[in-house]
Amino acid sequence: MAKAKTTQRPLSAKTCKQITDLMVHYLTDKLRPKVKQDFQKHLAICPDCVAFVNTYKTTVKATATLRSDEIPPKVRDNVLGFLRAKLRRVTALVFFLLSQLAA
Amino acid sequence: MQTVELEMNRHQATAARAKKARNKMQQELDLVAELKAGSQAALEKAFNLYSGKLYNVALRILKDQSDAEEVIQDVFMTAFRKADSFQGNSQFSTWLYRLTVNAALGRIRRSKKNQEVEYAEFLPKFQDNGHHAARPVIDWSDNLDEQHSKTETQELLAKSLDQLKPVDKAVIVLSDLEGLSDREIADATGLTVSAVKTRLHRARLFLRGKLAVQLGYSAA
Repeated sequence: MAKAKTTQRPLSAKTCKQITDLMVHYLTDKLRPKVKQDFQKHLAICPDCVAFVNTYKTTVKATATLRSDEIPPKVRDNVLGFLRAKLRRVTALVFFLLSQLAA
Repeated sequence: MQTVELEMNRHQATAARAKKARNKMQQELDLVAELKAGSQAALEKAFNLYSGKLYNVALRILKDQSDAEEVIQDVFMTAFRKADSFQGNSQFSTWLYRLTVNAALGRIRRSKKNQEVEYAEFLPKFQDNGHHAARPVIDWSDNLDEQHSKTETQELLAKSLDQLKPVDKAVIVLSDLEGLSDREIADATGLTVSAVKTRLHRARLFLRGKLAVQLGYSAA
């Protein structure tokens, strides 16, 4: 908590390092208005940081393309088969124990 | 007039999103209730809903299909057996992510075969006065698609992901691939939100540096 406050303290000396450190908050639009204003002011005068922000954003966007929700059919069948077999054994054991108790 | 219409459309879209989120939450709660009651059908339903995402998270962290498969088996068995321990403090899907990340990281710790590289070479460098050490910083954001096919970029990023420390890899996978919030990632990994942000930023900087070097520019 304390760290977050320090990170978002209005920038008195706007250095490229400070701008870089705020990038995560900037991308999720979590900077406080004053800090965001300082961030944008710095970008207006620093082409190096503009380039850095653009390439940082491009990296995040390119990384997102690695996302996949696919599970190979063979893996899916293996795991489902495993789960069903395991549950059958558990059910059989429960019935056995219940029948023993009843007897 | 147009502004009023736009505002109304925005309100309707927000309301529709909120309704969708409520429905999803209710479906999750129903599913958890069925799991707690020991329903095997509920387990299969959960498997159908989440196995794709969880398998890919496990695979990204472990790099090995059979290890990822075993992790998924363990995750769904644990979810079935320990459904009662799910308190509802986070979303059910976040709980499943947590089981997956814990199982995958546990495997890496036990195997001790993870190969990490030093990040420093690929992180930005600054002068004592806080300005970039290597100037000008080149904006290669438009060159990436021109110089590399999507597949080549993905291969490079996948290789670079594998060089991250396992926890950093888990954080970036949950954030930039799965779209979880920092809070949800903190819940899933047991890290603080602040630690999540720090690790996420460092991992992104490393990946950025790797892409820059691949394109022939300085990582700094």
